Amino acid sequence: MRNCAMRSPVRNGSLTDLLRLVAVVMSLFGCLSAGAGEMARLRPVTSAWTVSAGVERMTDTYLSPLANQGIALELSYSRCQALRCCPDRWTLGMEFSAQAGLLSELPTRSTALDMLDCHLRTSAAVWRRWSLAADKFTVGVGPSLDLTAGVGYAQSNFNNPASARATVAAGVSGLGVMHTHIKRLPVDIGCRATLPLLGASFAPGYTESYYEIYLGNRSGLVHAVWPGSWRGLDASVWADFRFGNTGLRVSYRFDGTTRRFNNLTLNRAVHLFGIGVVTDILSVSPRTAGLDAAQIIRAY
Amino acid sequence: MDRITAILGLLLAVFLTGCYGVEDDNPSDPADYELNFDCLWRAVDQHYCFLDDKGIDWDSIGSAYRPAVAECKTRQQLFSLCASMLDELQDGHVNLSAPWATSYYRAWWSEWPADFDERVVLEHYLQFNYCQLGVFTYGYLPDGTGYIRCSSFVSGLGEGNIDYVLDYLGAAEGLIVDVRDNGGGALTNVEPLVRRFLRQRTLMGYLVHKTGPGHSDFAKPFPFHYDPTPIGHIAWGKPVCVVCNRSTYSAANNFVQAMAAIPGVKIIGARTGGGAGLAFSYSLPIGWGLRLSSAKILDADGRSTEYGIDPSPGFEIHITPEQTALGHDPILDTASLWLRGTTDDKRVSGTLRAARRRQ
Repeated sequence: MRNCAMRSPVRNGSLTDLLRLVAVVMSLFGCLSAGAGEMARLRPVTSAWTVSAGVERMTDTYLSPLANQGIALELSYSRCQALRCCPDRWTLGMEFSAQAGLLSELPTRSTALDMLDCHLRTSAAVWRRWSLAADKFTVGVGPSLDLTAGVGYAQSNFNNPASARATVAAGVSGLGVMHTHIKRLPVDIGCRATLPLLGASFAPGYTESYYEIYLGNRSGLVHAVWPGSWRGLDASVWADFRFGNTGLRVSYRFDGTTRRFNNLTLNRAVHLFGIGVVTDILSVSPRTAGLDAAQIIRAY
Repeated sequence: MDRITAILGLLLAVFLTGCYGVEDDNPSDPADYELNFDCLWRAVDQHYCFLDDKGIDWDSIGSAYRPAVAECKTRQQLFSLCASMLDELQDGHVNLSAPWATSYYRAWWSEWPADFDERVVLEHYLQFNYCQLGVFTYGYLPDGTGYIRCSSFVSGLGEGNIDYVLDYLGAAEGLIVDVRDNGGGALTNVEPLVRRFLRQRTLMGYLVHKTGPGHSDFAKPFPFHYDPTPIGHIAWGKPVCVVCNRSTYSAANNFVQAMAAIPGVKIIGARTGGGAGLAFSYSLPIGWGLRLSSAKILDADGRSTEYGIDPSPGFEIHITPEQTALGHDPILDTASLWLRGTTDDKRVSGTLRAARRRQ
């Protein structure tokens, strides 16, 4: 599938490659005659696998009053699809990522590796979508939900070797995509930002050991997330160079968090530059009616 | 109206994107001696948990030592100065680690008799006929008393390993657990051993962590309990005594504290070294590590054991160099004697059972 027009299967003037693919699939099942006269609405999934590397700077005063800096690595998977219930206007975006930071303490950086900082993250956002300038631009805004679990590990620390972090937060997310061409190559240039606003987060006490938590002291561990105690911004910019159904993604991502619970401060900023593969995937049921005049509604 | 909206928007943007400050974050010059001295002083001021308990005026100490920083010409001199200041805390859990040395307050044990010579025990009491399993040395004393020496809690033994040890010593009528010269380790390695001597869930003490940088910012003491022997493992139901000396420290001090809370257990030897603070680690901009007590561990009566645990009344025993030279260990002798007396005592004979609870 090429970078075909969102919501309009005829904008490119002919049946898209995707429809040809669908036709092949349907012919295999011998169901082409089903539902003639009805218009099927197909919602391909735009998914991307991205490998990123960059720099991270992190201060976690539970572990050390000093800042740590080093390289950061990330593997992420994202998928976007028009919502089933109202595909013309709404898009669901999901992302799963695993980050690892290999850090050393500033300013001396006396050892190659003082700290490991690992995070798993799942986020989902639903965007109300608008097309602008004859479908050249797509913008969206909507609610988001983020789940993050991670740990900072300082190998030389004694009873405070690790700082566990877990946050669930709802917020707002924005999306902007420009559909353009470089010469004859379709290119999608997009940006996405998520701003968590309300939720809950885990943090131990000022000098509370995990042994105390293990023994059963669970009070004061869960804290309300709001912009007065916890601020985060996950923003990314990418360019998808489309070669048929598959494309090359080049991306930059900023993942920043600052929080203060129990007189402990965490400042974390990650800059990642990634490269990946983006594909449009369409799964079609043989019983779907009206495929001969199907309308393709892309995620953006 | 638009201007007000813009200003509010700008303020909101600054609010949402601003970071919380960290005092020590990224100093401009890591080799700035005064900056490092201040970072050290502040780390202790904000995290050390015994300042009030020990009546330490940390402000005065800082004021007394700070002028000498200007006279430090080398890192070694600064290190010595900082180490001297930390010694004022009189805490073996407080260390400053530089690439060439780790500072260590020694007076908590150096002014006390050693009260232990491992060679004497191995040669004259175990006759070199003993088993070694990790940090455990165990065997039978000449009078048939079981003996376990736990040299450290840095590493622990698995439940199955402890079963083997207790099973091996099952023929003994009494058991000595020797934690002399045990400098501690992890509390998680203390619990599996203590549980073997418990008949029921028992209050072992309280943990008190700091909630903020103030000297009196403490959370409500959290009581912690140990459960009895896990089902399917061997419990020790016969008489037991713990022998300790001044070098019984930190997690070993907690072991003695826990065992002292068990009815019938006798503590024999010298006062333990204490070290009832959970040590946290931090760093200085110059690259040195700092370790200090940041949370308290209280005994079951809510008292701090930072200064040590006294032996059971009438059981404080010390060893002279002459006795050591003759191959005598009066602490072990006293423990064996007490166990034999106890096992002869009908009052406790009912407890003599190696409570094997295998399923």
